[in-house]
Amino acid sequence: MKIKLFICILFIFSLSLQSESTKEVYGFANEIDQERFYTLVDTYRCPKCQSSNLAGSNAPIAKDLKREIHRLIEEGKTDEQIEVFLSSRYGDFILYKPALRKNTLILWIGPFALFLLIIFFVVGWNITSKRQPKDLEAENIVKAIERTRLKKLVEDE
Amino acid sequence: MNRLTHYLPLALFILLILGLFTFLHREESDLRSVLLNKDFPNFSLSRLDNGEIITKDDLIELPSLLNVWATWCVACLVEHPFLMELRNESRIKIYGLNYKDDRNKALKLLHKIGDPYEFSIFDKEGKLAIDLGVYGAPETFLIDNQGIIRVRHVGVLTQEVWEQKFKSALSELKEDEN
Repeated sequence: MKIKLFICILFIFSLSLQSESTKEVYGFANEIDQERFYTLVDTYRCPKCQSSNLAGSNAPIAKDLKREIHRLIEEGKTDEQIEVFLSSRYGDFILYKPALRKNTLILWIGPFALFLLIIFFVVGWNITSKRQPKDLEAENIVKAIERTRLKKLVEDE
Repeated sequence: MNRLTHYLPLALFILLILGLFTFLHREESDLRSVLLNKDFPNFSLSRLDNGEIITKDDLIELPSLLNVWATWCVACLVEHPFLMELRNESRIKIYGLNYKDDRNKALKLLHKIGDPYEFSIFDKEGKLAIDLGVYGAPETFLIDNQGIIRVRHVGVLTQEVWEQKFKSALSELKEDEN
């Protein structure tokens, strides 16, 4: 148990170290741009590593893209222009938040539809399971009646 | 009846998986080629061997291949024999994009194992590579004589890939010409 906890703590610290390590490299004229840079590199996915954002990746391509984002910010480009720059080259793949389009519709409405379905089923099952005890009761009554009738029959003979 | 409703969630789950697969899987293969049927990006970089400035116009006289490679890329060595074969057997011109590499190392390697390229473009910072949406090496692009990207292949170029992806695209291009 203690070992598990220790490993968890190690993980937590190593993660924070990793994201810190990318913070020192890029200088900006003002703090607003710097904040924008950190937000942007947090927002986009690294095309090479796939399970990490640009900030957390040390892959060469992630470094290049961070450099490009840095350049674009210095050139005075807006966040939207930077997103267009990235997605026109690397596609939706690089966006953690997918664009709302016909083929991505399932991602946007899927969870809500699923949630509604689950509610529907849970409610449905509750109704049927509530009905069951009553049925049992009725069954018991019938059984009791039959038992007394049987008893009577046996006694009569 | 009750039995059937028990299987309904499973059926719905399978439906969901199938739905996600058909909607998003197709998208995924597109993702890797957002630049398909788009203009090859403009660039101005130096030639690997003599430092001469190369632009887009130097590539698109004929349908040509652009192969992204580097000395640090092991898979590039795997496809190298096939590129040599292609150079000898096919009329298509192959250009190299030397990606994030050291000029001397790259030249040495080509000298040692053979150079399948007309010439290589030296892209130390990966500028053109970013414009092409490259995220690793090797990658191979087929560019038509209008300078439009027709095929993109990520990974090792093999005989099989060549037959499946590139040959049909090339014959389509020839039909267009006629």
